[in-house]
Amino acid sequence: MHDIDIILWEKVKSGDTEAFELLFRKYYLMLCLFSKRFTNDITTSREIVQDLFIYLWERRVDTPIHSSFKSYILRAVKLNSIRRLENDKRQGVRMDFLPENTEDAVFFDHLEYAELQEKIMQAIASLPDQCQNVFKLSRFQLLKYLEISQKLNISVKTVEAHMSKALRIIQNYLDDKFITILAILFFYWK
Amino acid sequence: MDYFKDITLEALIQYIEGSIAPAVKDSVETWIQADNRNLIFFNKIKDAWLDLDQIKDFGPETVDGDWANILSQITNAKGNRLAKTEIKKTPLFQRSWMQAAALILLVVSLAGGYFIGHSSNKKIENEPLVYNEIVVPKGEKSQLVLSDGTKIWVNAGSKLRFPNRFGGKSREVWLDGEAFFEVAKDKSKPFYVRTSDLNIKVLGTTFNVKAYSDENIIETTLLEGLVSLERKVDSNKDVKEIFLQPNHKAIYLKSETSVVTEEIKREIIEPLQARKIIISKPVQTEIASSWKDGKLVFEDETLENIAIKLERHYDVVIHIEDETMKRFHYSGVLKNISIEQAMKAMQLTTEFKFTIKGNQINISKK
Repeated sequence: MHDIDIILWEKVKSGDTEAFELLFRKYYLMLCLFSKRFTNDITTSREIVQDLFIYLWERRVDTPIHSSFKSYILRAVKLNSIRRLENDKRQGVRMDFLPENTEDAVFFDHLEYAELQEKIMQAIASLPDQCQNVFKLSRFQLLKYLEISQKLNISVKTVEAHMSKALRIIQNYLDDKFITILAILFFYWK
Repeated sequence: MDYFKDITLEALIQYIEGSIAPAVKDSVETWIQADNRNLIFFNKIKDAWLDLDQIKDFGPETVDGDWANILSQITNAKGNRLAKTEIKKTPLFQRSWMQAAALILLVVSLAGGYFIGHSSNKKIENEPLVYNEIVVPKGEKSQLVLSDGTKIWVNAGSKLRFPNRFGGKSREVWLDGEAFFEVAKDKSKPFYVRTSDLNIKVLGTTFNVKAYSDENIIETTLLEGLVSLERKVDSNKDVKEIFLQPNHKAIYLKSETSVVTEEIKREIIEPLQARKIIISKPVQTEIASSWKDGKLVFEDETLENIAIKLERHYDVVIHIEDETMKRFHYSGVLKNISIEQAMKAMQLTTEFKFTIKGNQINISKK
């Protein structure tokens, strides 16, 4: 699968922004969630990952990505997230001296976590409108089913049904076979 | 590992949020303790779930916005100006809805003022009974409202025949292709959808029918209400009609040689038989009806079957040169993207080459 990334990366090197957008959309959400494991702040993580992508574009010709784009960018995200943590001053993004073996147990733990959360986020984004409304009111605004039913002018039973449906759909996303990287790309391509 | 074989996410989440019924609580605890891997998985889900509040605003719009930000920065930098800076986003469905509307208007004017519209005007009852046919070309879709208020969405490459008004004791339409129905309730007049091999009888409900005459399979998916199905050839004999419950799908193979998609293989309990109506286990009905919202959904589907859907959706002809490639599997959702973008995205998971010449697409091994 990563070989395709390399093909895209080769196109990026020759100045293809379309290929660059594909790589961005494929990994952006996951990378931000991964970075957040270190920074504990999603806004900071979005800045870090965006800075990295801009840096990557500017230095595309001599950035040493050979075997795996994903592994490279993950290492870079980790390094820059830790740096931001250690010294919250804005220092320039650095990717030129990436240590080769920074993947330890914590690294994989954070990656697994980020990928799990990514799937949940994609599932939520894919919920039908009303189902998504109910889910968000319940999960994020902590409204009771009765309050939701009054707010949306539907019965409590319908609220329950929407919640069950939402969780069923999310469960499907978490089932390995249900989704591949392809779907990930499309949900974030509106 | 298949964690959700013995437990539902709903039970886990209710357990995490403390809203679980005491009776179910024990079963969740038993499950967590049964296997160390279950415990590890449970803790991951718990962490990820409780952390959602902090990232709740991170939606598709955020990704779009952040990309726009990056794009503006990299294209404004000196020496980086490129002709190709934006991906074309062909608004496929905006275009086709307008064309569909134009199509409906055309049909209206051709039929000399027959009725399409939501109203039960007395005047219509006096009009002569006229049958109309709406033909939706490939790459398009269409929506109409019948004289009784029934709403119908008609998918690409389909034909629907319907009367300008419903006289007599029943309401009947004829379908070759795929359509989504929201049938207006009228107990005194059952609604029939007639297809090549099956008749579907409806009282007032929402369902999807896929019955293309050039395909060997008919699928009926029920979202709400109740429908019954019967084979056409049986209609004079004493054969029982088959009832379909909500969230289930009825599958009918016209012949032994019918191509069965992976999606259907996963949905059935009993083996399929030619010329017999089989009822599926509960299905995600939103997949069957997703086309009307402009989405194409594939769930672990073969390239060969995906190609059939793409051909109709985009009005293209797809040639797959290599036999082994036809059995490659993909999952995903396509929404509002061009066929070229769809092909590029599929390339991300498998290496292949494609060329587009006019409406001909060639897919070959790398």
